Amino acid sequence: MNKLLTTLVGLAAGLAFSTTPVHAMDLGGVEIHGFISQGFIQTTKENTFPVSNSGQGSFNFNDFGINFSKELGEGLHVGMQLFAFDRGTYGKDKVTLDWAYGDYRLNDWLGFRAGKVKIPLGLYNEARDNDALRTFIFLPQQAYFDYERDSLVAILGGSVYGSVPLGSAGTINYQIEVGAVPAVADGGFATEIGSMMSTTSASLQITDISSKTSVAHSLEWRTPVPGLRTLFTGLHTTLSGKGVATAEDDGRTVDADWKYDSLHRYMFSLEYTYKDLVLSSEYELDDYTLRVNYADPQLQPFNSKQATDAWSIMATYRFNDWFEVGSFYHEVYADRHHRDGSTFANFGLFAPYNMWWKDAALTLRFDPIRNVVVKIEGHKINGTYEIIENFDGAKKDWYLFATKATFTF
Amino acid sequence: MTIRKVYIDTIRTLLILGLVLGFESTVIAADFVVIANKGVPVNSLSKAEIQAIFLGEKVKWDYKHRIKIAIPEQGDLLKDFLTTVVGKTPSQFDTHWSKLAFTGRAMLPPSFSDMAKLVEFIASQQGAVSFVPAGQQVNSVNIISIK
Repeated sequence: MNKLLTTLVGLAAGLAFSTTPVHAMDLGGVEIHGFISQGFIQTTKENTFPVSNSGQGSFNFNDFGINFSKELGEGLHVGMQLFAFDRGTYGKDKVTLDWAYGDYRLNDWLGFRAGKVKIPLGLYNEARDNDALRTFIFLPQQAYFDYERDSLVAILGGSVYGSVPLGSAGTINYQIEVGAVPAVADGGFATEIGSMMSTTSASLQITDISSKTSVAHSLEWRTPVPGLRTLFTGLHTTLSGKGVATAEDDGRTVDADWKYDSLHRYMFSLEYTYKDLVLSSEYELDDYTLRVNYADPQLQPFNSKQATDAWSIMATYRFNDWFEVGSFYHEVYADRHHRDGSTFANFGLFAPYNMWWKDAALTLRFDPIRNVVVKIEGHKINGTYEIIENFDGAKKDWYLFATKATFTF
Repeated sequence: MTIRKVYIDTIRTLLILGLVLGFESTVIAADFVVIANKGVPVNSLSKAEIQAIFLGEKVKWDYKHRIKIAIPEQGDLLKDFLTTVVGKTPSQFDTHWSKLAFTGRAMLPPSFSDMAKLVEFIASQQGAVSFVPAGQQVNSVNIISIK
């Protein structure tokens, strides 16, 4: 399947390049787009994020996608995207159905979608898979966590959406989605939540995952101030399933039931565009409860209420057709009521810096020719909150370097 | 002061600022004209309406007729129109529509490097709208004034 996807994308891209520059391929009324991204990433040796690289760097860092859309009638179209990515220990270029839905737009203010629809969280979640659609390789991680790409990015169900003009007060664009979150038990997200629900008594590996009825919403206000828009988005879901716990004292394995209960994620976003300059800021709040019950009375049930938050400020500037620069600063706190990291440090469990993440990033983006993007990016990070693998050995102050080339059509 | 309060205060300030600023200038002096199929039931559009059309937000002229946009691939013309009316640079406009296409939310509008072929397309497609250089031969289509 991986080779098939790569072949499909490569063939389509080759056909695209063989014609005069076009925005898309069109075969019998089916519009085809795609992208191939290959990168290299290197971090401080002890800090595995998001690709294990032992400080030597790794090429296990790619994304492939191909999508097909067709207009069936007035206001009615269908489409789907196949997607694969690799981050070494997760992703592994497994081909998945990224989105697939039918879309009927009744009028300006009301449309309907049914199928697998991307969740509109923040400024970037919907289109985050295609590296060419933004300046940065790695977006601010709390809101756009790389480990969550296989799970918290789409809803299986339906949505209503529309655009409502407010005259001199601008325009409101809205979306409401209801359905199930199709999380997978063998991906990055499962690794993340298994890590969060591992304790000093037992580590947890997720073996099964399902979601209750979930809701995602987006309200965008394109204000009357030219170039200024604001966004309020959210996701509300509960995930649960089975796992296998390994007791820390003697290594015995025990069945467990777990719950990622009542996640309420809210994001507030602001973006101002003035010619080639784009300034933006986002703030995110997460509230949820982690619960684990073990099929062994010797292991105490685990129950932990979480209240995280994060914020970022970003600036990008396009100098000309082929060169753009971007920078952001991002902070995440595991406990927004104790941003000094004392919540777990006081129990001797973690160092304070394990409970935050402070990331300063700089990116150079080059568009040397149409359909090709090359980026070079550096991050200086203080804190290890977002590190999932080799968490105990991670250093407090560390760096991440990445470069990526993307072909898109 | 909590971050939530800062955001609420910011939104309140923006609302007041928006109401104070009101409409932008209605005088748009430009080297382009907006053209539409002769069946389009409007003779003039506000800048906000044209912006909504070219961002894919406004999709119908009225209860019946769908809007079809087409884009000229002429560098200066495109830049002039987009920055004056839509409020985006050509790169930002391209990214906006690419995001819609890569999330399945819209099909890409057709684009034309030949202005005569663009006018021909607008004349032949019900509900179609685009823009061309001022002075382009446009007898087969209607000119839409920007109010």
